Amino acid sequence: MLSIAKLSPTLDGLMVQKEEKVGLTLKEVAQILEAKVYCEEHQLEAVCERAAAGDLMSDLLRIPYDGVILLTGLTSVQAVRTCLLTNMKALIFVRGKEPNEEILTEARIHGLPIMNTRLSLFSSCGRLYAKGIKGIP
Amino acid sequence: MLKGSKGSHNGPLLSRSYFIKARDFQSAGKASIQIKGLLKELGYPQGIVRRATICAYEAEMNVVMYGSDGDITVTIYPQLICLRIQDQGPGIEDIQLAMQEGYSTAPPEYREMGFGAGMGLPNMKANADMMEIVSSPNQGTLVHLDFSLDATP
Repeated sequence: MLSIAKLSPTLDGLMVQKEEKVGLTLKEVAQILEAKVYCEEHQLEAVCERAAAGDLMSDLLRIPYDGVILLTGLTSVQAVRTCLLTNMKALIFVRGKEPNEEILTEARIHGLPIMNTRLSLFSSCGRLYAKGIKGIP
Repeated sequence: MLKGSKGSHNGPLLSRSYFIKARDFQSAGKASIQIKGLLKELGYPQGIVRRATICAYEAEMNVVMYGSDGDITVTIYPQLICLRIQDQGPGIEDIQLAMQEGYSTAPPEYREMGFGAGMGLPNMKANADMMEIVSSPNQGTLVHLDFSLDATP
């Protein structure tokens, strides 16, 4: 987990150093979502700060950030390609949807971690948001 | 960038074409991934690579969904990346209407695959530094996109 040291004023005017957590590792994300990890387990220490959710790839292609986690119910190889083309950090299928072999092969070739959670899209986002993952403004 | 290229000063340094097969949803996006790999290999900044590959992907999906076979060509100039996408499909009847966000003629099954939301052409316009569409009914479609190295990332 990453943390940023911030100087904050106290009541008596002294500056103290406070540790502020930034983002979560993919491993923590998997734990929070009770998710199964299908591939690229060695990348789970990577830290992510933002997540996006949706099933419309064109909407997701508009995201102006790299390193985002994508939560989707769309189990199509196009979800993987959308992640790859926009430098996303992980792809998580919600509502218990299982990735097929074509998805996993493509993800392994290009090094994209794939997970699935039994949780709904809303609940998944809610849990991650509550733990400090930001959305796309 | 483009070390060892033999191109002339203003002419193209490199040009590559990729075939796009209509309705082949399994392969749709593969050409764009190859283009992304090529641009990264050539050492372009992440911002311009991202913009160009998003456009390539949207354009490739359009050919797969609406065109009949087509191709995408990436041409590299010293200060410019050009994408040229053409197909022999039914063409676009009203280009202005097609450019409107949310306007789509996609059947529901395309939307179920995550596309056909009427965002493809507007997404391309938002990411490219220049976009030109040449199309008319039954004459196919040609989309030309430029990405300038001088532009902001």
